[in-house]
Amino acid sequence: MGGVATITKEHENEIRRYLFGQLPEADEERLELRLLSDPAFGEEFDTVVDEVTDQYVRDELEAAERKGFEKSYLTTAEGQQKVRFTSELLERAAAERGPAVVKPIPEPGLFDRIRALWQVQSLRLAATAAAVAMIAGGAYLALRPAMSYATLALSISTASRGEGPAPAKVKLESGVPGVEVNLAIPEQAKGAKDYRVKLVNGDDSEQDVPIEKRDDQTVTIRIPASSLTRGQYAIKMFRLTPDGNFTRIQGSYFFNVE
Amino acid sequence: MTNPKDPFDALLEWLDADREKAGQRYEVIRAGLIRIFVSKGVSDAEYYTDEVIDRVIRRLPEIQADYVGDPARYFHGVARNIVMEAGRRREVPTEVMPQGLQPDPPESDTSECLTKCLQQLPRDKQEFILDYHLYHGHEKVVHHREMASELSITEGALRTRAHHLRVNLEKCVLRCIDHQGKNKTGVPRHSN
Repeated sequence: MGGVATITKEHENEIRRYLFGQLPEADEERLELRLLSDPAFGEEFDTVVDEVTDQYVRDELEAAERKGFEKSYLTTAEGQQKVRFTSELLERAAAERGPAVVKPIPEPGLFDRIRALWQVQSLRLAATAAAVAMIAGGAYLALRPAMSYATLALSISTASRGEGPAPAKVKLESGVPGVEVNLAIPEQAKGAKDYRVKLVNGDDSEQDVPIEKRDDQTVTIRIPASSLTRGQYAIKMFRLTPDGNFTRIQGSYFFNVE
Repeated sequence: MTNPKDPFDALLEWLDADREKAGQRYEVIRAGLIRIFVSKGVSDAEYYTDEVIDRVIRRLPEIQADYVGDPARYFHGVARNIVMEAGRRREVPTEVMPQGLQPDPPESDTSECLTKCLQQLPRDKQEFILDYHLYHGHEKVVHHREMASELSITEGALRTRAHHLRVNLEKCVLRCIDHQGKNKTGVPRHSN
């Protein structure tokens, strides 16, 4: 192993441009000769390759950089294997060490609801006619405490229950209708046509939970408070495969209700 | 006792009169050639690296007496020729990233192997390598600064530490995938 070197910004930029095929030939030759003679520079080079691969996986490279990297480094089996490894490593880091976000999302207030209603053209007349009644009803609603779902943002973990990092916690206050859980779809499971979600209770019994909404990155479910007591829960996700079957996505999403 | 007629010994001698230093120089050249080939999009970098070394060994009796300068430069010239030859032989278009140069291991293999290899690390190293790769962009910079401060090391040392761990982890995952492939098919997936 070569000596430990702290890479300079200049070297880093030069190596990056080499990897993207953007370095002039004379500089390229100089860099390659250094790779053949300086072990510390070889290590610096590998560090930059790792970081560029991280950026590639996270889609943070500029278009020209991405294209250059794909045209050279990533055409090789070694480069493709590095991308698979990096993708898995970053996903694992997010799943096992990433912070779980617990924040309440307020339900739309009375004013928002009236404004949304007002925007529907065909209902304006009726709304005007019913204004007096709504004001009276609104006064009642405004006096009621706002109902909001507690929310959790979870990433998948391949650790088994009781192992790995502490699961996210959520506290269900009185009057909270339930928990809205945003489940990050793991990289390898993205792009499926459909997903299915099961809630696993502390006694290992399972129940299907309908999906409220989903996009390319996240599946959102709402678990009513009536289905939750204090304790540990896991969520399993399944994806629809091209053969029409639902296949379990490896790992689980964990949380505790307090 | 070395046999002076052995072409590989002659190569080492050309690299340095001190055999130990020659061995180190050889390893640096070899590793450098692999990096160059992969960066230039030449698959099977190890095979082509051996090809460079073989060609240099074959030419050595002709050039050794009169060659002036760093032998690494000669290796570089041969490697450049091979990159060009490989480029001409490459059948796949380079506008798109080819997906099937070799059968991809199933996603689950990489995932399972990463789990196994992480478990082989002490707990603090597991946490370190995962924490290091947690954020991106500006958050990553701030996070690495905090990690370095907590460990009382410089950010450069943190980066090096993470790199060494990651290299070993990646090697472990590759070995594991190879082993799993061998168990399933009887043939290793990787030649190295």
